[in-house]
Amino acid sequence: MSPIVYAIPVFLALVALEWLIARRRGLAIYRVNDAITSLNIGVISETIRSLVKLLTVVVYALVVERVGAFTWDLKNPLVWVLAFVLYDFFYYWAHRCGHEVNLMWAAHVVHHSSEDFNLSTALRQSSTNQFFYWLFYLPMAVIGIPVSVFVVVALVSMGYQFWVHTQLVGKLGWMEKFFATPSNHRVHHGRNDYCIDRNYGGTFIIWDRMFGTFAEERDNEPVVYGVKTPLASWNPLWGNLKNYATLWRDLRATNGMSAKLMRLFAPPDWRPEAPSGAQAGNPEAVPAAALSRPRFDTPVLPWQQRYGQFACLMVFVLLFNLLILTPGLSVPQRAAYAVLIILNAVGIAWVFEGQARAVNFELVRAVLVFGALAAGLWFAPVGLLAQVAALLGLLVSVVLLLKVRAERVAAQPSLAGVAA
Amino acid sequence: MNLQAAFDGLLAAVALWLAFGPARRQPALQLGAVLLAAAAVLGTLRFSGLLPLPSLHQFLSLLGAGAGLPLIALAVTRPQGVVARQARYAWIVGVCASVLCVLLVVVGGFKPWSSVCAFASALAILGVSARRRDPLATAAGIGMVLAFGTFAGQLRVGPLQPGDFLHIGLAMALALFGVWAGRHLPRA
Repeated sequence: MSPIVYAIPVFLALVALEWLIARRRGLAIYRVNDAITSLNIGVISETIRSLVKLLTVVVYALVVERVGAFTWDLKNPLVWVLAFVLYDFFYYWAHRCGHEVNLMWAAHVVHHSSEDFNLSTALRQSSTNQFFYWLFYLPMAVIGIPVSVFVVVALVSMGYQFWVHTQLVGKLGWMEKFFATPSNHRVHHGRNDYCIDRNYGGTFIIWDRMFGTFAEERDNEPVVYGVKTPLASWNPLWGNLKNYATLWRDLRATNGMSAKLMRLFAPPDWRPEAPSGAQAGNPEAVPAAALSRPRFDTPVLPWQQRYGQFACLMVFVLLFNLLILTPGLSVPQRAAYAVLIILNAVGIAWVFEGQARAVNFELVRAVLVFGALAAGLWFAPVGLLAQVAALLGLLVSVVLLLKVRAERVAAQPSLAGVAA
Repeated sequence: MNLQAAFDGLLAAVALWLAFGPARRQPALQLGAVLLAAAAVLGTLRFSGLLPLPSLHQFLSLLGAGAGLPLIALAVTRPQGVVARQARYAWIVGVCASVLCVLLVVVGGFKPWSSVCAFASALAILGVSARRRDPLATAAGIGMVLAFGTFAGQLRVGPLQPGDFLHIGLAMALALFGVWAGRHLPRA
């Protein structure tokens, strides 16, 4: 079973804990629509990963088997330390390319599309990053680091990177010199001029100091989170695809193969009219107005919020089920389950965006998904308890959605006022 | 020391001289030369018996042919291009070409890929240089084509093995590129 199954509950508990602490301290670092979008994006990412992970691990294992130059003694702790340091080094370069190579930025931008910064942002991971990042770790396979070691150090690194996505922890003294910390990672997520293309380190920040990409958080200039061109949507699918759509449009508008290649591999702010090969790390300045522009937001009504939380929880239940069932499912079954989960996540986004037919869509979806589960028409045999739970889920969904509809009708005049 | 190790050593020495001498400020040429040098150093260590790492040597030879030579070809045929002049783009080409090698040869088992890349690079250098009437690069291109031709034809003369011709031919070509780089390439 995927180790991520064990990690997700811990991550979710920590998100809840951070939300509680922030609420108690009166800090507005969470917005329910943004946080649920982050979680939905994370769910889609894990769903896609369940489809492609095997492929990447198989390729890594093949390279170890056919090329692996050395044999490592896994009982020696130094081997694990070396593997972790190597992993973090290659992560730095993968992450840096994720920001400074346009094609890879189109994948990675999802993680930066939240205009909030909290532990839920850590789970807002791209679905398509995984098609690129693993290539950067192949040198580890070439020197023979076994798959088991690679998987473990990758998980440890992922775990470490989770906690640095918080505003509740200040600067950490000597740790700031060596490690990625909440402070220097806040800079990484900022769109202030001094924050752009800085602090790529996953666990160690020493790589940024070595390669000239480090910036310290400034006490007199609060970090403004997000990207220069906002996503302006709660839709997790569009969050993953928006920059590819932009890239495709830009490619069509670019003349000549060289310019098209530059469009793909140059930094994201490269323009054909600019001097060829504009350097990364020197993007156009962010106008002050862009920093002060309000965050993307939509009104969240109480029942909408409750439905969003419930439906998001259900999506996580589906993800768990997929991860548990994955080894026994065929590829088409996995793909079908993935589509189902993605539709669930998109439906929640439509409710938050107040889309006209969102409630109807969600009603149909709830009936189909919970109904199929209750009837035992699922990807694996369904127990009685699960069938009863599905019926309960259907009931709760229908009640909440009807409340959402009634609430929206009642609030129409005031919502129209907000929109105006 | 046997002849194989000696000629691998010769290639390593010339490639290192090119990488850290005339091509020091030419990222594509430098990266290509470094890849070839790394393979040649491992070949020297392997055939001299000092540090036999056959799989790593074969892998770096694959990268030398599949990524190093195309980089050198790009540096020679398009010296004003961004790949030739900027480390960023030279690395991107190097990484993409290396990944392609891994996927096609190591994973997919399509072994001729490295030979295809090597021949295509040599022919591109020869064709473009001849059209430009650039005698040094043309001579280097001819040297490369002959080296790959003798290797492909498994030519053996006395104690010289096919691999020795490959290493000698490549070393001569790289030496010519060194002279060529000093005269022709713009400073980055």
